[in-house]
Amino acid sequence: MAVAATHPVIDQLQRVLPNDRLLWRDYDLMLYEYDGSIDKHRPLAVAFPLTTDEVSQVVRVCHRAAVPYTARGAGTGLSGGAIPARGGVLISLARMNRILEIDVDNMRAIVEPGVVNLRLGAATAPFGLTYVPDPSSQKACTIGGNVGENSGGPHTLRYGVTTNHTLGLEVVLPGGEVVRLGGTAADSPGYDLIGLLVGSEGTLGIVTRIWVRLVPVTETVKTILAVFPDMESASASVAGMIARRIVPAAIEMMDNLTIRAIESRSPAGYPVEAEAVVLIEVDGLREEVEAQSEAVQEVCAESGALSVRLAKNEAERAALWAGRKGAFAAIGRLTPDYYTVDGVVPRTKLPATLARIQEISRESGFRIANVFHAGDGNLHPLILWDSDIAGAEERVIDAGAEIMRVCAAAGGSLSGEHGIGMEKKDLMPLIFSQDDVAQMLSIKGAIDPAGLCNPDKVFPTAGRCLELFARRGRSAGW
Amino acid sequence: MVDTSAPSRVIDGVRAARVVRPESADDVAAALREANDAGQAVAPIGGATQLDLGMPPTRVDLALETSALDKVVEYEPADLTVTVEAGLRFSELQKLLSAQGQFLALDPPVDDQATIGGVIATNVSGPLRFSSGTARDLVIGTRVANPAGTLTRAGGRVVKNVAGYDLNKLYVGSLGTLGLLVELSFKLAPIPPATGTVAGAFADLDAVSSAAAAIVRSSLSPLAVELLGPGAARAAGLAEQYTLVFRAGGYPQAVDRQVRDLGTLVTNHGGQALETSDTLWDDLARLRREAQQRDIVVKAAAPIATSTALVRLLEKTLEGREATVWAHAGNGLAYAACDAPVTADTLERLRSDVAGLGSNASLVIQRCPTDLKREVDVWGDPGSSLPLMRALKTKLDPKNTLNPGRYVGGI
Repeated sequence: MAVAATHPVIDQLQRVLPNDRLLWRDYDLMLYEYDGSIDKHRPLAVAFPLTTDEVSQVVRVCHRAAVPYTARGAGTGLSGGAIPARGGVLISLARMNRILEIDVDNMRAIVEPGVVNLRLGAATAPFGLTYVPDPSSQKACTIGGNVGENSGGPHTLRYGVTTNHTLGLEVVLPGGEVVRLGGTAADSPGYDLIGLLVGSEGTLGIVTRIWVRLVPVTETVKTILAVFPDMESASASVAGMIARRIVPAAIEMMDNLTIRAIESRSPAGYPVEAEAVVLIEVDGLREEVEAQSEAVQEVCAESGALSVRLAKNEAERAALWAGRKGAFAAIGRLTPDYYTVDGVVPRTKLPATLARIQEISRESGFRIANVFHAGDGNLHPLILWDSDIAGAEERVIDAGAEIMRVCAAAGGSLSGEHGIGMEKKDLMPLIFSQDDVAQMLSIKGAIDPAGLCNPDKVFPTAGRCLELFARRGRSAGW
Repeated sequence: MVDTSAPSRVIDGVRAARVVRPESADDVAAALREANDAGQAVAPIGGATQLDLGMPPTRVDLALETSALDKVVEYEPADLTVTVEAGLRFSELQKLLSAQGQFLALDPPVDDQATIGGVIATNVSGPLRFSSGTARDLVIGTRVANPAGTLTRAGGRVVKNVAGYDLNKLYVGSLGTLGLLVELSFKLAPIPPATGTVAGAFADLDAVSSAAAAIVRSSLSPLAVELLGPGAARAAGLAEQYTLVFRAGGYPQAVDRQVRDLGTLVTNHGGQALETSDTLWDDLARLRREAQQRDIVVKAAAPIATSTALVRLLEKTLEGREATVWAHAGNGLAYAACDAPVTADTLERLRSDVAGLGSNASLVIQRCPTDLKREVDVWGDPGSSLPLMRALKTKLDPKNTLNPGRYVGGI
């Protein structure tokens, strides 16, 4: 039975896209009202364009009808970036998923935004090349989403995040115009618009094609697991490595709650009685890795590690990483719900920050698991909660906000890799002044004057704004 | 606030009516706002070492110098980050960091007077970009003075940060046309425990090309991959041949291995391994700095695999002018420096030949006589993104106060 479309914009979209690439019945839309975060909002319709031109046409339809639109990759985001906060049209790029070119000679690949992160790595591996950013959701998340959020991952400590590996973009601007930025050659003259677009959380346009950097696969990799009696000594090992001039490929830390969760679900070989484990990966030439892994083991021992173990083979190495990459899912088995917090502090502030998070856990009554990128000070406290308990959602969000205040006061940031999105926009005054935000908003105004491109993200809600900045006062710096 | 001892400033024949050298960020912002209110044009100046970059300014009423902003705001070595005022000399910053066994992994060919703010606003780079990237990969936080007199921050002091728009990237290389950098934060790197240098001489560019390709795609990951044209090799004290120069860094045993394997790769591709040492990098740095002083300096960018084709093109176009030609062969970037006269036609032809090497290949004339700038746009055509760049400029600097006319597309 035919159901009448309820909004005129749907009729217009039907002229641009065939019916099998357009959803607008309420039942179909429910799947698209959320991502990996807490917030929700239902779109008016979901469009599945296959080409840049179709994206442009959909954007033009929205623009003419003054209907907001939001781009979506795999919907794995953790800050609400892909939620249509004000309704409107959700533009799914999931079906634009071709790897267009792997240019081995120039160490570049050109991909469409819907390509899944892990698939790109698999496609380049036969050529001895790899794409570096490796978010933990890499089995599902898309390169387009990674560009939107400037995603990181464990190995970004040494090799950088998405912005450091993005060389060119084709973008559908908010008016529907298509621009090409950068490409295979470096140093295009003019403003670095790629740098502006990457991490702008889909608020400045929709990326339809991406040129990425590929690098040679490293010769050797070694992974070390160090077990610590407490978080303080584990943190001290991180500082120790930096002091000894060692920058490993990755330094990951997990606390006891996380360790127990992992070991009860799919054992990775972490000792369940340990208060903290640190997973360190060193890569490069054999000789470099040899020397560096010895130095790392020394530093861990000096910092008070109870044991230090080098993965003997690829299977052991893979198991150690499987534990880390499956940590969030393992926590999910301990609790009906968990809230993933993302914050950054200077490396030297890690011990004090972790201690404060423990206090927040006690004060709020929520268990908090810590599993994070210790090497670059990027914390991921997971707050365990139950959405069936009345009032819990508000309290869990408050606990997350309190952790953000601690990070901000330590000179850190509100997000290392998950984005601000809907989740933290009202916390922006913790690290930015009203003028700072106004400067960013004027960029938004220059590129999206109609304000229809992924609205109500990143920046404080207008009404709440003054109150928040007033509370911030003049004292807060970074 | 006005330091009357400051020398007058001339940019492409346009003399600044006034020069000020404020001593605080607040004073920079106040001076900028005052000029903006009065409808005056402002040229931000750091160490005044690269004033030739860009098109002639349409006007300069005020030269606003940052060299008195030279404080270290925060340096915690254990965090591997530093925050400094923009007028601090680049050379001073590196000295300060090296005392702690660290450095900012950027090695542009600039003089001692160059400030960190100027280095970032001009986005200059050197051989280390092969392993460490460019300014955009190292700047983690900025504070700028805006034409309306506000001081705004972007980014922060932590190495991983996605809060808010990454305006840092916009300011890098914007030649002060969007805002005036007053403070910068960087991520740092430890100085490698050991380094080594390998150089190989080649009879022809085809052999160079295959050797460079093999090394760039290998897991040897040197810190730098440089190619010198015969003239540049001679100027660096080497034989007058095409020469590939590699720098290795890391633990001593790894450096030994890299030096050995890189030497073998050179030989296997028909090159002749040369006796050399790390001091060659000082010679190369001097060579690049001196080349920047010649009448005409161009920078060409194309896909990595066309690095040698770029060198060939530059040599052919500037034949008979004793051009110094060198390339970051692992990045697809080549430079040529020579003395005038070179006609606008020659440069335009070179630009169109470079464009043929890749869809976004480009040629920027980094330095040339002012007269020539009347005939040729030093930046070239930025393509479909120009309206977007203009929209940003108009929004952030509505009265066109900052460096009017000097940047890409007449911005």
